[in-house]
Amino acid sequence: MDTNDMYTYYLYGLTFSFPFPCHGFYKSDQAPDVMVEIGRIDAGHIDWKEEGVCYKVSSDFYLLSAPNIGRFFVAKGANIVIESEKGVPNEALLLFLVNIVSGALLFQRKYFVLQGSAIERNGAVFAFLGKSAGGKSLLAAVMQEKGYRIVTDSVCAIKTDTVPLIYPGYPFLLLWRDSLKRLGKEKNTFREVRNGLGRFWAPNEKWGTNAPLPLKALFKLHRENCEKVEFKELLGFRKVFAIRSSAYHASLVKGMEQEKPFFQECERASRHLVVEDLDIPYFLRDINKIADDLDLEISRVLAKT
Amino acid sequence: MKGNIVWLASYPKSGNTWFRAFHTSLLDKYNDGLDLDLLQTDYMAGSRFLIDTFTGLDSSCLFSGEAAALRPSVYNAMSRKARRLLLLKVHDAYTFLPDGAPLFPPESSFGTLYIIRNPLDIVPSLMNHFCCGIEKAITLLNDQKFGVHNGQNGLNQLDQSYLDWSGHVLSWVSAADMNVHVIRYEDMIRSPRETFGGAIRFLGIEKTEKDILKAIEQASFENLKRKEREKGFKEKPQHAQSFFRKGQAGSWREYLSEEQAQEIVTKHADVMRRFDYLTDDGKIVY
Repeated sequence: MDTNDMYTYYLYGLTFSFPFPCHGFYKSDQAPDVMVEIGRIDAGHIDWKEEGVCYKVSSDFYLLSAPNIGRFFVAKGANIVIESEKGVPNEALLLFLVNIVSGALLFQRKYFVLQGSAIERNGAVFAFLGKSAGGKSLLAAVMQEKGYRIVTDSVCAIKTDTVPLIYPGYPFLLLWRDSLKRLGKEKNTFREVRNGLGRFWAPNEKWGTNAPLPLKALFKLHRENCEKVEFKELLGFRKVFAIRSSAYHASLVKGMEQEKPFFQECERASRHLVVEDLDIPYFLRDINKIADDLDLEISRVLAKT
Repeated sequence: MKGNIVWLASYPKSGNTWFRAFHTSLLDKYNDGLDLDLLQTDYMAGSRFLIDTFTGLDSSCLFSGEAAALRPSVYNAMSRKARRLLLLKVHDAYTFLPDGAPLFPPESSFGTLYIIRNPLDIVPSLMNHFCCGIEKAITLLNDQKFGVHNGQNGLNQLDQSYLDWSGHVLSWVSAADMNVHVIRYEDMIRSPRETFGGAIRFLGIEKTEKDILKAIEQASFENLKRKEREKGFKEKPQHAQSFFRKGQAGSWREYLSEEQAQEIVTKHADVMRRFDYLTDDGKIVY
């Protein structure tokens, strides 16, 4: 590939080389760690460990078929091939690339990957863990308005060799139209992730570095039938299992035969992290009050640690 | 060959949660008593988490039509992997995808336990659940387009189509190859031993008469209301006073005028007659 056709960006502690420009992403001048190219996928020879409706996975390989988008093949934590359907915009490919496809790549590279958004204050990072469409991005957006910096939106790329460190993700929050309305930003002209989906790339401040930051606490988000925010610190094995159940797409852990090391990572991380259940009212009616309560709790955790 | 999924299907506010409470009590291995927040069903059929888990995709990156098109494959995969019968709560009507394939594939299905309730009594429950007035609740009941339409708002459920009340009922009871067992909410009240017992036999669960009666008592409406008062219930909408409201047949008379009741009867007479909510000469039974 002609290096003039490469666009290199920082993402999750790595330099990715993309075959198309990624507007708003943080440019890297480092040699690529991961090569992304558009081409034909040849995965017929692979002995897949686990197969789902749209994916196949083994220790070193991953294949995802996204309807009306295309197929993504990830090999040995270093190469991604996109076999795009005709006419699919690069923005749509990017949506899958920087989330689920990168998640698979990070697992191949032995990162500890959780599903959540993360924010930073005074050099310490706090992550909200939870399922898709659970309110993590909206909560992160509101905390950003209180002065926190966004570290990552959906993929928490962590290493736990010493203390848990989390790597910055892409410099956007993926926000639904409804969330933008709540933030008073519905008239902003953000790029839509897929034309007509109603979900948008809302830019946040770039980190300007790929360096990891210390992770201090995990808040496991539950949208509940409650009137106010409730925090409950988890201890012992409840802590470990809460982390484990937040794996980024558990099928990846199982398919890559990383169940035991992943559990060990969860246990290791639990020794260094505060882990709390965070119950928030289901319809997020008073999101600013939720953010105030979370800000107070973070102050309490920071003071304690 | 039968699949492993039992669809616990009902139009909203028709007794689905009550049945789940009974089912949970019946299977209570440890005799811990019923915890409302731990009702045992194997997910809601329209759950985003279910689709994400089995597809490996993030469904919030998909259009609702794309996610819907994946649902039959997800259920087939669930059924193939299951080592026991799975009970999936469903409020969707039994509908078809644009390519003609059923949303709920017969090959994944063991059968359907369909719970039906007098539409007149559903109205006050809809009012409570959706915090709306009578006219709005009647409009929802009569609306072919009623359902969950998250559109561009995320949330943890995929889009679901309920149709109107008659459409919902007929879609399930007429579904080909779905082995449907219908129970009426009113019979759960009037003759619980026979009704719950029949449902359990349909599910192939072997329990003694004593176990069934104990589960019926634990899941009695009075008990459910008391538990909700004491500890709350996570499925209660925040704005509603309670999830478990009256549990009676015929309480619609406290809410609906004669004209409003007649409006519902006119719209749904055929199905109401078929399921003995109207006599042959059109009188309201409950």
